[in-house]
Amino acid sequence: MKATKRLCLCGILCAAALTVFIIEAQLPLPIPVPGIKLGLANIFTLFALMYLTPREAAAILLVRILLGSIFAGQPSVLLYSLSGGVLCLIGETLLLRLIGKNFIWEISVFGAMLHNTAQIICAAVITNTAAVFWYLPPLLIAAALTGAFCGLCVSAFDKACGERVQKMLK
Amino acid sequence: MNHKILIGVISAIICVSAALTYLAYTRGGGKTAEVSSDGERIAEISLRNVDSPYEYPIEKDGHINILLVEEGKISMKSADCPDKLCVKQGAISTGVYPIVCLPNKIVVKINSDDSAADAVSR
Repeated sequence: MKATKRLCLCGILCAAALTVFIIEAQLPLPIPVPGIKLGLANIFTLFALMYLTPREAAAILLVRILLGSIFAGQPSVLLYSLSGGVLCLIGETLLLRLIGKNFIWEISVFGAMLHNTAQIICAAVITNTAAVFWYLPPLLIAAALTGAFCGLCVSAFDKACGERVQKMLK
Repeated sequence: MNHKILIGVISAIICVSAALTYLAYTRGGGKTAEVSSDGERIAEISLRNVDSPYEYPIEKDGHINILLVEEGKISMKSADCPDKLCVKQGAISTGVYPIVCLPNKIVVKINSDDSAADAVSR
């Protein structure tokens, strides 16, 4: 019963993350720096990290990135999403161990920064131009804002019904 | 306690990023030179796709300043002012320091249009 519930929750999180990811890809942002996006799908990765195990969070992340890049019709961005997502997940997992979930928004900010850093490194390697790093500072500032927003979403959810989720999974 | 360290690290990253962003935007250098006289804009010269350097004379109140327009940069070639500081300044290619000819009240500055992209493509 417990395993079924967990699997079910994973499936729901995947679907929700995928939906948000695709809707977000359609939204134009009025910012001239390429690569800035809200990263709302990260909410679900954080959620999975908090209530499930890092392994399950990784599974949700990978499914979201693989299917997302296919559904959004841009398989070329797969490598960027993957590098960013994986480094972000590793960082957030470690920080969650170190700091605890009371400060989830800080973890989210740092995770978003790791995400962008990995993407820029990836872009620099692929295009073979070091000048791409000029994009990093504005991206990091954007990451602080969007990461904080995602983190606050998760912590608001945790305050409202975190206990119920945990009870449900027991 | 750990979370305070993280806040510190994040703040430091944000500060450095803000400084670098500012740098990239101001130094990036869009490629339009704006010439103004006495605060009034009198000409705008594109510095993109300049195949061969050419001279751009400016006549204002009986004074003559001659600009030299080259790909991506602009300089004051000659001026009939007494000190010739503007000529000695040489070519500018970024928006950081404008060329100023105080006696003739001519200012040449480079405007940034999409400077972040320029910073990258340079």
